[in-house]
Amino acid sequence: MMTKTPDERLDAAVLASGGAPKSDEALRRLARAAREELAAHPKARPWWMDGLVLLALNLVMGLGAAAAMSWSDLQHGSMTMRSVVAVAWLLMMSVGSVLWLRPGAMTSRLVVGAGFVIASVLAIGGASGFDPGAPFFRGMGCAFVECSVALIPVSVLLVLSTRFAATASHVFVGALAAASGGALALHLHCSNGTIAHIAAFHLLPAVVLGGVAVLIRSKLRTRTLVP
Amino acid sequence: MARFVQGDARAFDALFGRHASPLRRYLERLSGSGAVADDLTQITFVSMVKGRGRFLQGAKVKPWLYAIATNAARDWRRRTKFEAVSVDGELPEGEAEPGLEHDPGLEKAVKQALAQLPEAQREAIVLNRYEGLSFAEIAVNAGVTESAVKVRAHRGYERLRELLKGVWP
Repeated sequence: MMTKTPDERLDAAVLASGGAPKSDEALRRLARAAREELAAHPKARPWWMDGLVLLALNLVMGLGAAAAMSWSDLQHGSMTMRSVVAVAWLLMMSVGSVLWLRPGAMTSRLVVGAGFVIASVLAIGGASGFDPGAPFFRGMGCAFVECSVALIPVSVLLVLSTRFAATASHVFVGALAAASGGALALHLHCSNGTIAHIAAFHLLPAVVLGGVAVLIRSKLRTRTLVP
Repeated sequence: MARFVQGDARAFDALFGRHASPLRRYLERLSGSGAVADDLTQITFVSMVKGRGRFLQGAKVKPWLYAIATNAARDWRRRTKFEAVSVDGELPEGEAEPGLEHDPGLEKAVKQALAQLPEAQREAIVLNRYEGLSFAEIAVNAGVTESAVKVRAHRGYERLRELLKGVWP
């Protein structure tokens, strides 16, 4: 018999640690529950269906809030930038609502994250610098509006995320997309054009919301373990 | 896989027949218990059926299935707060995989050493070296980068060498 190298001995030991193979009959028993599930639900639910649910909710909340509140031009350096930033938030909100839960590589989540960064940079870059005063009081009002608009979408996102083995990156960028509805509403409504106000009370709440969503998701039970 | 996603029971049977046995052995390697591996195999296939709408057309089945199994093992560990894997009596004499040279002492030491590795490192080593998945395939389904998986495996091997000092040079 040939002498095994240490690596080969280790490999053999690890392979053996998988235990003895099961008989076909014993294995078949393990398939019963899955077969019953397949018989009960022969039609698969495509992954993007949940994204459409969130998209509809984000559009209702984001556009609803934007339509319900008064609009102001004072935040914006120019009308062009006002439109560009509004489109950026709209894209972030709509595309991000679906893309955050795309299965597979990190790329789709990175795209959503990059979308938020681009929209944020545009919002800051297009700020007029106009300061209406009472920075903290007004600022807290903006943060409250953003969180309120995102509350229901983020709650639904958390429920949807239990339908697969969502990672922190899924939940975080999903929450950023949900918070973009509030950011859009604030972009059109708020009259404060200072960079500090936009960064601290329009953008930071979205990031904090993402962090809180990740924290809450880590406490929730995953119902289906697919990636 | 496409037929299975559309609800074809025979396609499910074919997938189960091909993957169930190696998958169960993988889960026994991760959990250290045959009974737990049985439960986790059931959970893996039920999850596969429930979540088949998340399978991307054109993707490989094996890495996807092993990702579900890995998630099932993690979820079980989290639920049971199971850290120290007992190995006593898990691998009775003569029940090792046929065709492999049997070394009970080393097998027991390896089981204990694997159980002591952080789960991410254990998964990276077992999936790559013993289940034949590439680092890229592991990374895609684990939702991390390929280099992160390589680092985990490298650290795992270093730790394994420490734990098996004297047994595995």
